[in-house]
Amino acid sequence: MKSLKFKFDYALGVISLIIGIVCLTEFKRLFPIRNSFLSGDHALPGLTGIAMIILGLLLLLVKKPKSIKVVFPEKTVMIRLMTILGILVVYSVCIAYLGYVVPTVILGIPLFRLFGGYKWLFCVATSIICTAGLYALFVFGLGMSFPRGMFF
Amino acid sequence: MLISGFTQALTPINLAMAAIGTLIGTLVGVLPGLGAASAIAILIPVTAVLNPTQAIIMLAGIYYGAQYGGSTTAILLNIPGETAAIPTCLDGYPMAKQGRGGPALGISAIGSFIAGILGVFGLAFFAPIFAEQALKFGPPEYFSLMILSLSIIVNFSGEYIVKGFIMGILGYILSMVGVGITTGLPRLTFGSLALTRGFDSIAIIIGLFAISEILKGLEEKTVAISTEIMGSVFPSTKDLKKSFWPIIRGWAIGFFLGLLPGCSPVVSTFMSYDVEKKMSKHPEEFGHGAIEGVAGPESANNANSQAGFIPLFSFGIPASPALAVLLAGLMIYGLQPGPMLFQQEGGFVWTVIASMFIGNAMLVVFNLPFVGIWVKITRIPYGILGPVILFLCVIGAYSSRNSLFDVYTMIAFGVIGYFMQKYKWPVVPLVLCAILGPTLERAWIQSMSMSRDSLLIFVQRPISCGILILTVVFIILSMKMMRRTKKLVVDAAGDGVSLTD
Repeated sequence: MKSLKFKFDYALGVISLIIGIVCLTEFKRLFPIRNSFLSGDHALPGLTGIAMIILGLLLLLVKKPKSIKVVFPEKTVMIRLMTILGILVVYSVCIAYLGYVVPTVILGIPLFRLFGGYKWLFCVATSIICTAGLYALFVFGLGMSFPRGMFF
Repeated sequence: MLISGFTQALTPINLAMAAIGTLIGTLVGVLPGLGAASAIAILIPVTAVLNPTQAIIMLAGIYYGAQYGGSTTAILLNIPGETAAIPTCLDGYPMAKQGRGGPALGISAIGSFIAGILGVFGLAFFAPIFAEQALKFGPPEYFSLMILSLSIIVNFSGEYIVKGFIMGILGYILSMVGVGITTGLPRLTFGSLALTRGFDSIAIIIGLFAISEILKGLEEKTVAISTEIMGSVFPSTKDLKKSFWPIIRGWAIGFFLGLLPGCSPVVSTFMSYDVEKKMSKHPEEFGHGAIEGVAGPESANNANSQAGFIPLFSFGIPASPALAVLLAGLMIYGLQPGPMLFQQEGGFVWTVIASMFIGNAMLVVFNLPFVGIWVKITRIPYGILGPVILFLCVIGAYSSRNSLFDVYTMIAFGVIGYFMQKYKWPVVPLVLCAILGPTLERAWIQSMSMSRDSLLIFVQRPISCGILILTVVFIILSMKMMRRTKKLVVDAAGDGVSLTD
């Protein structure tokens, strides 16, 4: 796991360099429309770009302190975790087209199953109650607007 | 001013908001899967139906309510919600194992109440003194103040300060995405229409704190509290006598360290525990259920959290992740924390301060007699809580700007936050700088226009120069204190625990 941590820090060092270069490119694009050399929309992208490059290099080149052991969950938990994230992505796409209620009820079922390992029937009931409860509280109670999509 | 604050805070709606806030806060502290920072972030958009004073009273209630709630799991389950609660576990849990969980909770509540009340008195006394300088502040002073806020990065950087600075600058870069301040032209948007609105700080915060916490919660087995280890929650006269001075010392340590911008509560709780152990006639009892070991750190923690409002209101500098989120909330409501807040929004500030007195009293009422109910609430399974919190996160991220792009942002930052936590990369500097970024840029551009590009403007003006000197002093002081605290944390909990946890 120690080597994994090292690779992660190394990867973020490279990402910092890339972000720094992107910021400097933006600085170059905005420089012609400046107020003055240090004042304008270009200034902070320039300064942060330079800082990111310096810090990225420091991360890559300077010896780091003793690393902390990184422990990831076992494979089954990791798969569960990925599936939940996948459901969340599908859910956020679906509510744009189908509205809040239908995707929340449908995708709530596998979520309750994945989180608690409950029986399907229990998951269906809990999902319906949860959706209704949240809708009543936020839409009727607090007057908030939820995505409507094709349904409601 | 404070009396007029009380008349406002005692209106039924404001009382209700304080009660709701403290109840939600205690719930958040007691339950796994959601911290104070996440809860505040989720509820900021929801509070849009309230006026700013009511909303901030409720959000502040969540903040200090969670401090109380957190002690329940620390004492009865030996689970510190955050590193600052580790000292409470050291003696609180042994007390619970001896069947004295109740008195430990009782003294924790009493200590927190006394320290909280004294802390609010301090807040009422000190904050206006700082804020009196308000009218002398111009753009260079504000810029220096933003640099002072960078000193917080030192406290939240964990093992390697470079990581903290990378995260902080990343936060600034995220805040620049959207439309440029001076030209109104798209910046760092790469032609994307969605990016021209910029990233919503609430979506970033919910992702980094709440989503990553839910993912982490899936890995952990949650345990319900047994009521057999409780006993009476009312401490005996002997317990109260033994705890009196530790409470007072804990308050003093927590409060005065809390005045230092960005001083983490971890420093004060560990320092308080260390002081109590050194001052005790029976240091050998520490670690085996000494009530002073609970009273001191709990008082220090609560005093620190109340004192944290002073740099927050007076300078706009938060001392903890939850206060950083509260800062975002204040800005969303159009309230700019900093020296002008007391001048322009005096009514608001004094009402919130007065509500803290009331909120602290409510916490004792909600916690001591009803501790059994809170214990029962911990039996709600994570299988039910997890999905509900997930749906609340989606609602919170969406309703901030009614945009699904913010929901995607939240998910992306949730994944990033999960890996950042795993690899001990501090997320607080990112959040802080993302929130303060626009203020810093505005102050920079105005300062440069005033000085015709001379950087000397920051050292030529006395207040600005003074703030910059203070920044250097705080950074050195913070580094020293964090190094010392790190040693104490390692002694108490091993080297697997990070100060950023």
